[in-house]
Amino acid sequence: VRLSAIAALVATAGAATAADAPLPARLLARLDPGADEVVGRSFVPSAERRVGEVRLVRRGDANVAQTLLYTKVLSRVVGEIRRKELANWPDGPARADALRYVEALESVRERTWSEVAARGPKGDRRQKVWIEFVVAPREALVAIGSFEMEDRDGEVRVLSREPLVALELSRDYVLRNMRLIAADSFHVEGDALAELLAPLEWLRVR
Amino acid sequence: MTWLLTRGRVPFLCALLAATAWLGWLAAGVGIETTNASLDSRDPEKVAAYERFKATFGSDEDLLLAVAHPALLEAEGIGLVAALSERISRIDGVHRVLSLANAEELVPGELGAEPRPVVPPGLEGPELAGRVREALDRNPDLAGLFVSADRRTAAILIEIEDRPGDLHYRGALIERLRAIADEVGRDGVSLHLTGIAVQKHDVSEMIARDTRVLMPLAVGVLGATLAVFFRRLLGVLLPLAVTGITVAWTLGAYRLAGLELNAITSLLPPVLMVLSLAVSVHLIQGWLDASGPDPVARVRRVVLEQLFPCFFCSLTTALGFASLATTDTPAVQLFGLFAALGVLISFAVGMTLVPVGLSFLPPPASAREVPQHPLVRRALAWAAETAAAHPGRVLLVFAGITALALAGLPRVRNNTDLVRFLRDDAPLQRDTLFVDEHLTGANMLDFVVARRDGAPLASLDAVQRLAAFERAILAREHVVGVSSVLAVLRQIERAEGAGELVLPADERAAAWAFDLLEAAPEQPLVRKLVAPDSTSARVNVRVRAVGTAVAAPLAEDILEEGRRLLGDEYTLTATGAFYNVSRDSNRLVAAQVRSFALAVGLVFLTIGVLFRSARLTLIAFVPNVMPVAWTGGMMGFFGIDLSTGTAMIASAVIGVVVDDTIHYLTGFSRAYRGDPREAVRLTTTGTGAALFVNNVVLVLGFWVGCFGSFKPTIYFSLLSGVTMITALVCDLFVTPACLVLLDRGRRAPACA
Repeated sequence: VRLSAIAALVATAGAATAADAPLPARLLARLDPGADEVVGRSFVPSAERRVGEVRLVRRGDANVAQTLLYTKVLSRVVGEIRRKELANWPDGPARADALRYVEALESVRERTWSEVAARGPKGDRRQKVWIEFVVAPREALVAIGSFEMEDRDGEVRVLSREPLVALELSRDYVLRNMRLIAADSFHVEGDALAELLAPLEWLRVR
Repeated sequence: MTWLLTRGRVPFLCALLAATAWLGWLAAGVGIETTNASLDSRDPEKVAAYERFKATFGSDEDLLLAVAHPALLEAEGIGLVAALSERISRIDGVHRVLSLANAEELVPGELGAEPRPVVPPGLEGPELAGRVREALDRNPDLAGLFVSADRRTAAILIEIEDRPGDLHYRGALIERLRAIADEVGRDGVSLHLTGIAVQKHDVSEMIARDTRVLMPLAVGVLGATLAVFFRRLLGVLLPLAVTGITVAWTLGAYRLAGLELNAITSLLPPVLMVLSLAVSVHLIQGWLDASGPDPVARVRRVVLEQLFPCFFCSLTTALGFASLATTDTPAVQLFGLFAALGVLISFAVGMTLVPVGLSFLPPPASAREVPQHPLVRRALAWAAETAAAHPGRVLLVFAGITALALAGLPRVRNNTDLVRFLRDDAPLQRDTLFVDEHLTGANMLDFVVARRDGAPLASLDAVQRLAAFERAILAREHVVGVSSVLAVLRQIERAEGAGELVLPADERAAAWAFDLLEAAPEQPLVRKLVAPDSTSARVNVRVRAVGTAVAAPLAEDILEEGRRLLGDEYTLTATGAFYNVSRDSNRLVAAQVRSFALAVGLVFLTIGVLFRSARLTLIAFVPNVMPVAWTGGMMGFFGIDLSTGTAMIASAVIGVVVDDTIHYLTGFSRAYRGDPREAVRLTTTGTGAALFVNNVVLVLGFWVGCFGSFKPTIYFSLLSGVTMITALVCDLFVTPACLVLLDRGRRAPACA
């Protein structure tokens, strides 16, 4: 318990640093959505009470599990993500990756919350955060940022996005998490999950 | 006319038969309104507010099933509520069932507030009862919604699916729920179903029942009365044929206009049957009294004699009913317009069919003597003598009675009671009053709060003002409870860390609580209390089963106080089905005065045209307005409320009762030879006898409506009959007294 706590503190400090430091150009290139091809999309947790959506994307030779969160209760959503992450990675080397991820996410949440608070009571209270799990031939990373959007008849279009954090994490952690995110968000498993992931080279079940 | 009575008879009868067959076929298919929509006034402001309310917060027509159980909070009682909730949720047409069995409270969780069932799953025995009691004590708002204060009656709230165009599923659902109530209700357990949807369903059923019962009853009563009066078959068959054709044509036209019968227009058939008799009765009576062997000439003479008086009588009756078209309530408008149409149809049919029918018969050898009961004869003679000999005293006595009646008028209460307008033994009234007494208020007033600038209510100021408004409402008499978003905010605060049921204490907490509401899993429930963007909130006030006499001022007081407490930055609107009825009720008096003034104006204008005499028009005015005032006073003294039904009496009856005056004045003008007293004696004993018989038919016919299912229409029928009796009394005393007093030795009154 003590080790985990220390790791969490380190991860938080690291994440805070990462959020303030400029991102390397090599990673920024992996986050360019210009050539994105969306192969699957699902509202989370459901279409009726959505707090965001998950998109499965092909971006050049990379596969991306992109989560767009646009909700007034981001702290709840982040809490839920933290709960799932800690449950999915109870121990082992990838637990540190999970901790780094959730703490980075928490730091971005705090940053967007302060922006919302500055808007006043009549402003848009939704916190808009994107999370991307990216796996490419040579990279596996998690990036988190904020974005602006327009919502026309339930269709969300990203107008602009700002990457705030990029974490290079273990490939196993990123790949497994992408599959878990797909299964959880699209409410599928087994063959249906395999079918969903089939267009994504790195994620498809072999 | 001669052509019609000779060669034209057969073609006329064929055409009449064909038209009646077609319109009768249409009339047989007239539908029954299932929504009670025509009982709502067409006040655009009210309609718009209600539509906005329903679009934002959903329907306010949920059903409430009360479950009374001697051991409600024990395992057996809770088990029954749970089993019923589960069973009802599977019935076709049910959208959702809410009860103690599936109610949730908010508790602190890993991530903050999270829902937990009030009744812990898997528990049994005494532990269960204890836990439920604790949960109810912990959540007074939930307890107020789902359990009575004595913890012996539980509420199961049933949301119905919205299926536009499907007219049957609600009725089937209500029948199914009543069958379950009958099945389960024994050994101290009883179930009681209420709600606006039940009321609509039951009213439709009662209209169908009244249509089935009142028509044959009216035929029987009128047939028997005609048989007693004429003592021959033609005296029964011809008038009944005219009434049958009148009803068929009028209801056929009603259906052609795309209309359905409602609680008020269901009275049209019996009322039309009564009103359509007059022309036939006068023609047959004239034919019997006439002389001459030539059947065609005899009939022709009678028709020419009766044409003008009958036309003006029909016209005044039609105008009286037509004046109801000035009211705001569609049901009353339709009743007035189609009753007027029916009266005109009955005049046209009576003036053609009766002569044609009579032309087939050999004329009686001698003029028939009208059989008259000695008591009636003596009474008429006494009335004639009294009015002729003591006109001043007669007017004084009648003026005294009128003054007494006027003293009763202010006591008339403007009150529509949706629960008690049914008969006392009606299941809906029984069940609703049970719910009102044992569980919660049977009526609901809804208020919508919004910011004037359209911004969300997610602020500390809005929450505090809403709380002040809620406290003010709860302090009022007749208010049983209030449901609003504040109850949920208190739960959120408790579960988010405050530890007790308090409202958000600062701006950030208020905004966060609304944010959580927006993300709550049970959105359909949250949406019943607050708009999706939090720009408006609903304050639902449960009120005891009071009539609109209490509810209307209560709603206005709440509005006034609410607007003061909320301030200029907020808007407050009252709405909901019950509020709309209350608001309509408030407008009844104005509508009645407007309609009655129009009726009086039109009717006496017609009389002026008929007699071409201001003096006679004035004389006709007095004995016809007096009985209306008497009826108003009677309503005040006997505690009969002014409602949709009783508000129609004055306008509808003025056109009918004035017929007696027209006939009396016509008879007087014929009998007048310079001595008004002698003319009065001749008219009262002659025309008075015919008026007496005509009134018996009218009164008995109207009283058939007393066997209906709705108190407003029962009172309409009863009091209309009473007004006709008092109007006859006035015509036999006041009219002759006025004629004697105002006679200045002028020429005899002219009559068309």
